[in-house]
Amino acid sequence: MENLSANILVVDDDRDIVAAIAKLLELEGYSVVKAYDGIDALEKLAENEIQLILIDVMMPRMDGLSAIMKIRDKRNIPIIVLSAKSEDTDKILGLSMGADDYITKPYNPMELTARVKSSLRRYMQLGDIGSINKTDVIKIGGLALDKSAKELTVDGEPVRLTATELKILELLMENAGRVFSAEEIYRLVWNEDAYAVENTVMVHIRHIREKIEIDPKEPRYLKVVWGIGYKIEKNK
Amino acid sequence: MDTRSKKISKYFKKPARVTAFVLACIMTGSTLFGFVMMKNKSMMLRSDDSYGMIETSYLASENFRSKIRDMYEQLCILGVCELSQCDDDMKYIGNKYLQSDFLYYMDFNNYKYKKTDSGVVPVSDMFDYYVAYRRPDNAEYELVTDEETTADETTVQQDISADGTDSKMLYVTNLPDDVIHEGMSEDDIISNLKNSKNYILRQNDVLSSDMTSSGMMLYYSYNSVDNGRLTNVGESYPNNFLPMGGWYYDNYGRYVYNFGNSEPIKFFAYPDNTEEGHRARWEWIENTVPEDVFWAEEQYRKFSDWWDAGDGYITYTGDITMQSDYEAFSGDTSGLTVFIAPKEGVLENYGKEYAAMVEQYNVTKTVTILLAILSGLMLLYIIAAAAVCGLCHEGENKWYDRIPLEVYCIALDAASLLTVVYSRNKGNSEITTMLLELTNSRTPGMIASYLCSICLATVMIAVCIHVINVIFSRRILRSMFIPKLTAAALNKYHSTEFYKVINAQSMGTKLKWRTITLILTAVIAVFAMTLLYLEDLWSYEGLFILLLIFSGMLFVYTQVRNLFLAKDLSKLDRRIEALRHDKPFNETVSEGSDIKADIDMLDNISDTVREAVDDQIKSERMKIELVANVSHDLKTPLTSIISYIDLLKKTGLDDEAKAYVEILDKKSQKLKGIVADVFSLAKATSGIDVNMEKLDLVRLFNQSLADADDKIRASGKTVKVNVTEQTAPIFGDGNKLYRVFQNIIDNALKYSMDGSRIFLELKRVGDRIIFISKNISSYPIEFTADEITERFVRGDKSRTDGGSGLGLSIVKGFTEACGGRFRIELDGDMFKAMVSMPIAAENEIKTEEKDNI
Repeated sequence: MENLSANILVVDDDRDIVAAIAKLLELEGYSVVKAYDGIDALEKLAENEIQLILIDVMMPRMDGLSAIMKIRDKRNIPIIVLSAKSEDTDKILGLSMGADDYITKPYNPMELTARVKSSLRRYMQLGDIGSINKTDVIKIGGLALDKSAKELTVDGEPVRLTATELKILELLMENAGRVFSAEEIYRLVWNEDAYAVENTVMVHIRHIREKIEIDPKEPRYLKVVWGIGYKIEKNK
Repeated sequence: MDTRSKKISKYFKKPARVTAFVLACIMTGSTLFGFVMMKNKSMMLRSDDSYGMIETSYLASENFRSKIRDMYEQLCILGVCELSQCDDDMKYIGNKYLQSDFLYYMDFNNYKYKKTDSGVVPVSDMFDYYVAYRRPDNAEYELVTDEETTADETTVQQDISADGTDSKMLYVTNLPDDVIHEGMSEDDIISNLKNSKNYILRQNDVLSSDMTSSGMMLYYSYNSVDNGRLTNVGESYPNNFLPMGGWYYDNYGRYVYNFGNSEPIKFFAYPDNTEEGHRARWEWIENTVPEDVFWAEEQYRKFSDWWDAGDGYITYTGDITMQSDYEAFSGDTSGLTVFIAPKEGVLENYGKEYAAMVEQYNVTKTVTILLAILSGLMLLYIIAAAAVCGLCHEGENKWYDRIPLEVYCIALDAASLLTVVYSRNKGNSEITTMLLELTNSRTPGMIASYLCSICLATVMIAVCIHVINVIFSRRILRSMFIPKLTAAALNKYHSTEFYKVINAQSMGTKLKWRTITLILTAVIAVFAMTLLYLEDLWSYEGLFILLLIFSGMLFVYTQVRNLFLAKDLSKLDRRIEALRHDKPFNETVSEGSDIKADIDMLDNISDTVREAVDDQIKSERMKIELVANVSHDLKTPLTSIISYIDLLKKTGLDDEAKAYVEILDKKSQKLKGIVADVFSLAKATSGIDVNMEKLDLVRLFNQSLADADDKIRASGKTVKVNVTEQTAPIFGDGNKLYRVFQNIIDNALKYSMDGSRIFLELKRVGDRIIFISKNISSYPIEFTADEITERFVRGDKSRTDGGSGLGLSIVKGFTEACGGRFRIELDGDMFKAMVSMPIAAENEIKTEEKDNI
């Protein structure tokens, strides 16, 4: 996995956390600019060349969401919210304010770095991938499925899938947002009558998740709709 | 203003309205006068038994009959009161009161007579008459007198010979001498009389007539005693009816029939000497003369203290028991002969007159009816004009419009009352009779007094019409029913403490009292009616009628209030309905309404409930905020701890330090899990963050099981699954219920004995779907079923293994948040967890499915 050198702005009123994140990111080869509140962040952003922002929500002087709105007025860089607020409504609010990703505290350091890398890759490499305008390619978030080449990339990185996994993913991505029951998936993918197939389908789903999700326990793309079926989220 | 009413208002200009008013007054007056004329004429033309219709034959008309009756009566009375009291030389020797009573009777009835040397002689243009009195030849006759009698002797005794030929016969007649003259025998006289046409002849108590005139006495009415009550009976001659006279006198010789009785002579169905006749006569006295004047014995009545005030009337003053010697007697009418026959040519002329009167009557009737129709139309026009002007808001500024309506009503009442009272004083109850008398009256005083009545009547008519005018011009729809003064009085009453206390009573209390009032009303009514029908109390008739009117008004009042109550009750229903759905209630309830108190109470309840709910929500929100803040405050340092432990791991440490960092890492991860669980549990038990949707519990269970597949395999334990249902539609939060299954399965895997089997069961019981997990505990169970679901309680108290202690608390909290029930049963080492969810109704599922597809 190649690393891209980038300037990352880390904003949190807790200096220890900023220091810890800075250390973590520096170990990964990124250079870090620190800020301790929203206004500070805006100033640092103006002074430095920044490629990604990690920002807390609850901060003195200016909170994270206000800062995100200000930044989004001018800049298109990836913003990851880092918050102790873990409710769905908080996440939805953050994402709709212009954040690209939402990580809840206490975060898993591995996950944090993975998400930072993923966002950066999408911003720096795939930003102009829009020119690859093949109709055979289905793009959902960082997922890109080339149906003709039978190839899947996550944030630009190719992922190896088995034939069945690819078929399942293709079915779900083509009908993004729609919930498929295990029986439906089985019938459409295996082309056989489905009976007691929950386990079989679930195993495949879990395998796909492990390959495409940063945190398989809290999937961003392939979700279980408990008591109903499975689906892939639509593009936001 | 309504344009339509403006458009039609041109038909109701002021000159037209004034003209209409004047015309209406005149026409109503004329109609009234016409009716008077009609009544005036019809009174003469109809008979008692023709039910108000005029008679076509003059013989049957009241006009003619009354003349015959009057003549017959005065002759009878002349016979018994005058002739019977005269001596042989026609000199009156009887009681002076009796004579004065007789003369008063003649004067009172306006009978014409002249006083001659041979006594009183009636004068008649219409009839030939003859009246004679012959002393009874077989009876002792004693007249009790005292010092007041004019006669020198106190006793008149007539010698009567054995064969009766010497009995002297006295007579009065207006027949010429060639028909009747002195010295003729009675038989000759009678045979002479029978040559006349249309005669009526009475001899003693026997009435006869020639056939041509028998119709004249047809339907002669008389008073009869029937079931103890005096009734007027029409009898048909000659069936069983003998129109016989009786006369009554006291032991001072005075007439007693004048005691409240205007008829000087009575006619009875049976002769005096029969049992029926006797009884009828005494009963008549009993009913005619006031009860406390005298009482009946077998043959006579005793009188109390009656005395003569000098005006010819006898007045009762004293105690009846003090004057036991006072007696009343029935006069004997045997020996009386009465003859009447119309004079020559009288009937012919009378027939012509009668025909002319009928003609006049018919013309009057036609004209009157026309006038009535016209005045009715006029009144309609006035009402229409007033209503239109009222709608156009005109005519409200005249001085007479500013007078409160009540004043008009009082004026109307006063005018009619005055008229009625005035005419009652004249002995008549109707204006019509009064007007009738005006046309007959002669003296200037009488004319003046009747003119007064007429003026009053005219004023009344004018006021009447004007009130109609005013009522309809006052925007009737708005203010007619509660006029100004009444409204003001009501307002005043409504501001009193008394009214407030009364009105604050609950609807039930009010209804109770109203029902009591209603029952009282009924009791009063029944009481009054019963008493009214008891004959003895007829003299209190007026009082009972007042009672009846009062109870009737009460009845109507309570019923009207109940009608309004019924309307209000449906309003109350809507209020309760609004309360039930917590909707606003916008209908207004008037201050005086019966349900006002109840509505107020409901409003209070509504407010209280809303406040309570608001408080509850507020405190829940505060609780959540507290948990959120605590959670945030825990998470921030935890974030640093986890971050630095991670950094520590990446620095070069010796093996021992590395092992320590590993432990730190593990525990901090666990702490992270506990904090997250506590927070989500707090949210779920507060019902926040629960997204209910329709889902299939069987599928959810299968997914959860598939999800746990790895763990099951890793545990090396056998899981026996028994799902009896194909599908189990429920409403719930999928994520929460997934945690429920996950936790129960984890729990079973974690705490079951190695190598033992775990039983998972999903079945339907009634309208619920039940999930049961059974396993044999690897530890001895030393806790109760309640304890285990408490937060942070675990099977083993030492708490050294991986669980947070929140697992079953979360199961319980999440299940209940989704509307289900969670229960644990312990049986030895058997651990049994049960989750029960209500199955969603079929129709709901169908619609939901349609929406999904």
